[in-house]
Amino acid sequence: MNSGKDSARRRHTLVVAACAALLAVGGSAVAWAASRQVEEPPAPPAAGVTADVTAEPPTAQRATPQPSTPRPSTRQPGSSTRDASGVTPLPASRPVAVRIPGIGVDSPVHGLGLDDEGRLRVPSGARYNQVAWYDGSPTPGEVGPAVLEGHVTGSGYAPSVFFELGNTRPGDRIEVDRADGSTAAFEVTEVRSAPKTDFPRVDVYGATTGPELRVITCGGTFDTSTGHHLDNVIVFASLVRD
Amino acid sequence: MRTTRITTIAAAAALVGLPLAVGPASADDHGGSELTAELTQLNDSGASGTAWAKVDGTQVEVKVETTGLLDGAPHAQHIHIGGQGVCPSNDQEGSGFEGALQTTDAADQYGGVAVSLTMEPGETGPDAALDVDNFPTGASNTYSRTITVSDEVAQQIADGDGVVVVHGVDHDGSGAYDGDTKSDLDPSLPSEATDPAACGELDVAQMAMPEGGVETGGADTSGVEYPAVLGLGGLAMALGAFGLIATRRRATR
Ligand SMILES: [Cu+2]
Repeated sequence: MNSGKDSARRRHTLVVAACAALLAVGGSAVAWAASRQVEEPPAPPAAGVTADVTAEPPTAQRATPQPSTPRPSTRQPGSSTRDASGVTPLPASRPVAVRIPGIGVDSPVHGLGLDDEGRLRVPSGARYNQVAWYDGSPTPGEVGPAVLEGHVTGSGYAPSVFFELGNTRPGDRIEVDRADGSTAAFEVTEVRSAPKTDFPRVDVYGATTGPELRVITCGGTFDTSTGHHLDNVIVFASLVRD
Repeated sequence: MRTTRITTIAAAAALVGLPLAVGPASADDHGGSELTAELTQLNDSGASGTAWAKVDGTQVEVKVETTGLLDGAPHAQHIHIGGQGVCPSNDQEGSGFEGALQTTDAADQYGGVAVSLTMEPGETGPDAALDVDNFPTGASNTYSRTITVSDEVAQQIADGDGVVVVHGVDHDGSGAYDGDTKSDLDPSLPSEATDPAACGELDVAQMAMPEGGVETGGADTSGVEYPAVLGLGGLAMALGAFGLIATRRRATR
């Protein structure tokens, strides 16, 4: 009977075709993944960088020269007075976009809040690779530290919006467009890398006397057991006159 | 340049069904009952640190982190209220050892002791201001305690009127509290034991401060990217090759 032989041949052809397809698809997948290998994100110099070039201990950088005569009761916490050089704060207006020309960042900005445990939510879904503003923090240009955050890498294992944030340096400019049409211009004063387990909450989120900006992402050692970077890169900036 | 790469990634992430949950944005509320302070040195002590407080009714949760203090010696620490509610400057001179600033020299600036930041089981009122047995003794200390205060003190702290002062300075570098100058607070103690070492004004935070760091890492770039794609691709290739060889063998047989 020929029909048996025919169906066997047909089956054989099918199997060969399927295997060839597997080979082709698998091969192109491997090739694609190979083309996607990415280098580590840049990290700021170990000691962190400040606008103060003198090699003085952090306490010295923080301490602001104060007259020995009793000051009026306007509060001036150390770190924030540094660059609050009489710049007029802006009225509240939500941020809509941010640009950091020095590292090629130009992103829309959306608002995010805290989760049930009080942790800052992070960009996700269609906005995964966009910058977020913590909507519980001041709007950029208002008095206080406005908080922006973005991913360093994607769940797709590729550079995300703040991949280069660790390459930011004091003096770099950060511009934030606001819903009212104005732009708040900031200048970087310090770039720090801090372990998430010992996050400098007070320095980053604490009270400031002038309008400031904090830009946060992750860098440093990757913990494969938790699937997250162990360090946050934090850029500190102050509002400047345009 | 990056945008094209990023849209590719976003598309890929959407296809593979990676995290797509969008968190609900919480309401705008600036400020609150959280306070922060940057502690800076007094008397050239070399000490520094931070303080954080949260006021909830008459409960005040306090965290103080200090570093650069004399090791192995008790460091009295308080929330002062009164005066102008400010810290003196590091170079301000006083009536102590070689012009050192003693605690009462700056009372018109930071006021008097309202809360003693002792460890359990120490009392926390002004009377416990020199409870040396219950204060931190390290060069670096991480202190945390929730303290019940009066309505008035709670309100003053919440309003930003509190000043955190940490005491104990080894002026002569002897490694211990000693010297002939007596403390202005307790003449049975050397002045070094009570002179102010660091100070910071508790200012009202402009936000509800997030907990801990930020999980904006995504994933590592130092290792292999897309391991699943690599693995499955490799597996598919192996299966295909195996199948081809098997069918070939059968055909030749
Ligand atoms: Cu005190």
